[in-house]
Amino acid sequence: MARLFRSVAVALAVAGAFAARVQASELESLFPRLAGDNSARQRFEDICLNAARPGAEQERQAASASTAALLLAPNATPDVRVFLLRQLQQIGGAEAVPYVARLLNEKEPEVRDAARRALEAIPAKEAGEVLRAMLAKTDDPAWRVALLNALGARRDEQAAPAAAKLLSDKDPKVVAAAAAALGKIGGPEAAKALSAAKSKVPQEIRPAVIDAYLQCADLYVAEGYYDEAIAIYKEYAQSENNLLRIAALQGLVAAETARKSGKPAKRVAKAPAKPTTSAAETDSAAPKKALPEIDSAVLEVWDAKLRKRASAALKGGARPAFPIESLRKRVTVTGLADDGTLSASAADGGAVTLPWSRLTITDKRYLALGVLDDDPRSHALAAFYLFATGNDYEAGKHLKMAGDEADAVKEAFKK
Amino acid sequence: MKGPKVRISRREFVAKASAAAVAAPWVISASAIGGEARPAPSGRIAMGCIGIGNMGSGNLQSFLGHGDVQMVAVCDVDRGKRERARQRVDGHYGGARASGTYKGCLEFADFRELAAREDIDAVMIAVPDHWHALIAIECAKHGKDIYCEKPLSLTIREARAMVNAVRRYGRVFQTGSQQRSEGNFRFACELVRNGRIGKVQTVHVNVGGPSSDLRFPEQPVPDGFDWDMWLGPAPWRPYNSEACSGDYGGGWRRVRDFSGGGMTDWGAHHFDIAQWGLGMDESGPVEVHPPDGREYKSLTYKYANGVVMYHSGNAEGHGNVNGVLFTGTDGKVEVNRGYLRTWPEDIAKQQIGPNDINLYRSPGHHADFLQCVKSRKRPICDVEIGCRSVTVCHLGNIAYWLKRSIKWDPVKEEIIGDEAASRWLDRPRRAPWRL
Repeated sequence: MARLFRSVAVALAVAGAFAARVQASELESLFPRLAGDNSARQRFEDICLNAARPGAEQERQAASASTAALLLAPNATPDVRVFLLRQLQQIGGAEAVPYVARLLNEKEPEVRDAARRALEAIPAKEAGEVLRAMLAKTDDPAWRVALLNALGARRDEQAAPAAAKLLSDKDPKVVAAAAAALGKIGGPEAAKALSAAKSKVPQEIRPAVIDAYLQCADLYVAEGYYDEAIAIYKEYAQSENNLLRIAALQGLVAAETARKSGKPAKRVAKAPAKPTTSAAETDSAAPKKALPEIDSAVLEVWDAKLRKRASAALKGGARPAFPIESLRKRVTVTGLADDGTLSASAADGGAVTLPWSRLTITDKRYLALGVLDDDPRSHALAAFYLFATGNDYEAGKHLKMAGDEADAVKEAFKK
Repeated sequence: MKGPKVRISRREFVAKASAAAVAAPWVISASAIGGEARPAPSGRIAMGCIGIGNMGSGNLQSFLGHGDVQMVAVCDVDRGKRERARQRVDGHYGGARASGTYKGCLEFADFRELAAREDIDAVMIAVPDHWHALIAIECAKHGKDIYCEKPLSLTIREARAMVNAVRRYGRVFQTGSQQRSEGNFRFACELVRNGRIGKVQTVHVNVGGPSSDLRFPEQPVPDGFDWDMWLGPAPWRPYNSEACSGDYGGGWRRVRDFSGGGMTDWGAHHFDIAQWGLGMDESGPVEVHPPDGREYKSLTYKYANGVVMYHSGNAEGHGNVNGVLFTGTDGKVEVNRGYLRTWPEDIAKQQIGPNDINLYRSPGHHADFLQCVKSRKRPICDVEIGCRSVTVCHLGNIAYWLKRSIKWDPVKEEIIGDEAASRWLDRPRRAPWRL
């Protein structure tokens, strides 16, 4: 039976590879007609959208890679490039990012902005890295606004420090864009930066900064950090400004209602594309189901691996931030002792010390994703804890990058 | 409601008027205070209109006819349209101008300037779909109550962001799906909700199809028309009069960058009625299947309670569908503008009693909005309702465009298990615009 399954799997893989080759060939053949033929464009888009269907990752990657390569063809007009970038906005992954990134330096403004929009939508973490790097490099205010908008829409937590810094930019449009991005990103770093900035920014931008600050509170409510949200709302509960007072009071009611009911009363629009390393978002994407049972001895082995890797990453400067289930607080982890005791700072500024035994499997998953790097062993850890928390879809992605460790992960869930 | 002479807010006016009504043995009518057949300036709702095209002009005319409205500003990216609108408003208040009490209607090319005016209480938004969310959110942040044309948004995420902004700042928001304010649609939904056709099994909705990625040849931009602002958050493209024409059945409504096509344009009416009849105003379908020529002859929605809804001009055993057709175990109700028919016929003669489910009775879509601006209650087509109805339309479009079935979680508002389809829940916007 096992042999039969293996044969079927091999056959499917071969079929998938064949389909991917056929489709790449058709995309290339359509390319010369994209400039003026609407039917060619429609066919091109249909192929791309079909390739990105669930369960056809090999085809999606192939279509994305073919489209990305065509971007840099010397005979691609700006209009065709914008069209191709639109396809990558819809189906692109990490494989497309280097090609799209090159067009961020394009002189043609419409191509450049279409490249930015594609990176905004591509969920791979590499897209966020490119946008952050470009933000660090540019001093063009309009381009900064555009990049901040993209990073905010991605809810890119790693962009928070750069956005926070731009809250003191001399251009009010950049400040407003930085505030808006931080409001979408949320979390303690964003809230802290906005709190500090709201009294310092020019009067005309203050409402935008406070609006973003209140959005941070809304995010706290949506994510279950009621104390942090309430602290923000209370700042404005007695404001002389009617609108702010209304917003604060609405927020307080929402937070208290959510706390009592145990589920968020506020819905927060999520980013259209979800960075693959964001544990908070993989949670919501995962269908709820019974979690797999894991042998305690097996778990101990993986916990030891996680402690070792996390400890090294923390010593190297990593500072993963995530909510600790038992504390119902979002913390930034600062250290991990040899015995597994975790040191962290809470969103309210207080210090947290927690023995390893109090970490739940979800906490460990956050930790594994928070210290994720390119090492296959790191991906294996991510895959293990994602499987352990029932998120097979995301786990599968990391499993593919887990190298030799992949078998160990599969072995752990063999039952 | 800060009139040109009396500096008192509408809220203060309402509060003081209420107190006076309690204290005094009689009520002085607003028209008596104003000395004309409408409330005094301090009792009127100061309104601005953003977008004065086909729908905008109609809405402007209607609001001008309400004595409790003082139209104080108009805004459009087309100089000709905004000048004509301003002249129309000035002409309407011509008598007041002669008496020296009217200072003229303001004119804006940029909605942000209108939104920032502290002397405007409410706005009417009738711009192309790709602008609805950004303008409405900006207005909500400035404390405006909002009447916004349907469909509520260009994307599902925009719709939710609009709900959040409206709730955060405690605004009144009426979605322009005005069929909810028409008696025959309400009665049809009451028949369905009260089980007069038995258990609902299917709904057929007859509206146009999705928009597509249309392109047009470049033309010179007309003088006085701000094309870049008209495009706003949509991807840049060269000007073409057809691309931005507001003609019903053509123009921008056919273009995917600007609209969801007939699915969202008429869908925001008829799918909205379907949602109302099904009692799904805070929920939605769980599966959407595009036509595949086999199992699904037409776009098919499935609700968790087993009801199946078809986007189709024909129903098996019924023929052409006139608007919306609800089919239950004991009968059918078909409803459209100025039309209601039931099978058996006597269902239509039944009364809805006081102990039955009585749906919201609106005095008219615009009048209902104005009443709610004063009462601070939620109007008949509140932003959440607009959000849920347009979500149904958008999900249908996504299934059409991707040519595959999607599963929808109406609680989390997420597409399940299809990352590429999830990308269609929103669209990146052209800089510098952001949601």
